[in-house]
Amino acid sequence: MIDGARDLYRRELLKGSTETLLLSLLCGEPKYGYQLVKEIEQRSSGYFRFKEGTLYPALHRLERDGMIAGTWLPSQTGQNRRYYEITAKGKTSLASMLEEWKLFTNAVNLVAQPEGH
Amino acid sequence: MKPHIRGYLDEMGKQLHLDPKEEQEILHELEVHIEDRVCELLDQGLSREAALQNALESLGQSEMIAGQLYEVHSRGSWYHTALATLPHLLLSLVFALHLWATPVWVISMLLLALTITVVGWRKGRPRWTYPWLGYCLMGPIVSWGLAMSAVGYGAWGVVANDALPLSIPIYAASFVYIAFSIWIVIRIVRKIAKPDWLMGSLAILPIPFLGFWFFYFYSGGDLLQSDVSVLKEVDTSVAIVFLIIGSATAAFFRITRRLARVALLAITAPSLIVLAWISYQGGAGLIAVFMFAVMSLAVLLIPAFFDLKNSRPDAPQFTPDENPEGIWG
Repeated sequence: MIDGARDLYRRELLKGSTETLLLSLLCGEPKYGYQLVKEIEQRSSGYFRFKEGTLYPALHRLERDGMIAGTWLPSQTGQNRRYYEITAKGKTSLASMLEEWKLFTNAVNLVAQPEGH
Repeated sequence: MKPHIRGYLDEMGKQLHLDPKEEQEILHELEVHIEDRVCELLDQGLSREAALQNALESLGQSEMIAGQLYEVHSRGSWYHTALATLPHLLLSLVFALHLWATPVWVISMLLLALTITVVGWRKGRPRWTYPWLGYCLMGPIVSWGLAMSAVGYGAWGVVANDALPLSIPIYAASFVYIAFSIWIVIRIVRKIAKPDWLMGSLAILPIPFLGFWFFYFYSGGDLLQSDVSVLKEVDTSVAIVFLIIGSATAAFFRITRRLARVALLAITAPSLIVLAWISYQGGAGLIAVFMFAVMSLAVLLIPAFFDLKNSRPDAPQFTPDENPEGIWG
């Protein structure tokens, strides 16, 4: 596959995974936007890199849908930041997404790399 | 051009079209993000200017982000959609049951609209109150029309009979009232156009149709007759028109694309005039209907004019970026 097409394929895959990745990142302690950008980059060894501005519409959409909740809190530096945490609805949704993802990747692997090949 | 945080955020604020409180929170969140990025880059040894340039580039095009945020924040819940649709449905019911000619019903509707608007606006001006506000404007607009009629009647009396048909104090009061009611309506429209002129247009969506309805019967002389049975013959059509306005309002609240909202209003307003004309089977001529349809579009654009006047002075815009659509870099 040529580089351009591969890049396009990667973007298509990522587009459908944004919600899952954000909810996964917010499973632990509450985090603010910039922290999420850094953490996803770090945890994926640089594979995932948000276009930073578009992170906020995605976060706000999750908040509107009740998957996460945002709160303004003072950070260690004294600066007020909006921290997001996953809600019970978000956790249920994430569990279902991850389950589906597992089934999907297993199925793709079975087709792409059949046993004995 | 030198990168500029305030310029970037001002530009975004202008394109958000959200309530001031929501807008302020969003811009503050982005400002903190930019500052975090700048601090990190300064620690890496970049100059302030280069760090800022890089931070704004990483954030992306302000217009695109503002558009996406508008889509998220401006979509009404089903509950709010129902509240926004309610005044149109009530009015549809009033016409379907032929209650509009009973003063107590009209006054009750106006008082209900006024109460809900005042309470809603005191609680932060939620978007669902705008359709209610539109009907509150009917009071000053109709009384303005009546005062104009009185003045016109006086002018006709002078030309035809060389004498004023009514006393001079009544004309003086009419002139004062005309100026006062215009001032009230302009003030309100200017205010509602400020965060999002489209909400102002939604609020005044029924006004062109009501104007046509008034003109249709006024030109036929039926409104001046004590027997309004002629007018009641078309009540079913009017009730259907208000159901359509209610449906358009519901669609407006549920769709998120700004352009789709503009198209919805631009199609609905003139369509209502044409629909009413077809239902009434005659009356106004084709040219008059065409003029009304064009005027209905012009009326809906009045809030946009005030929004332009309300706009802050242009700040330098910073628009980087090669791949504006995607969320991933």
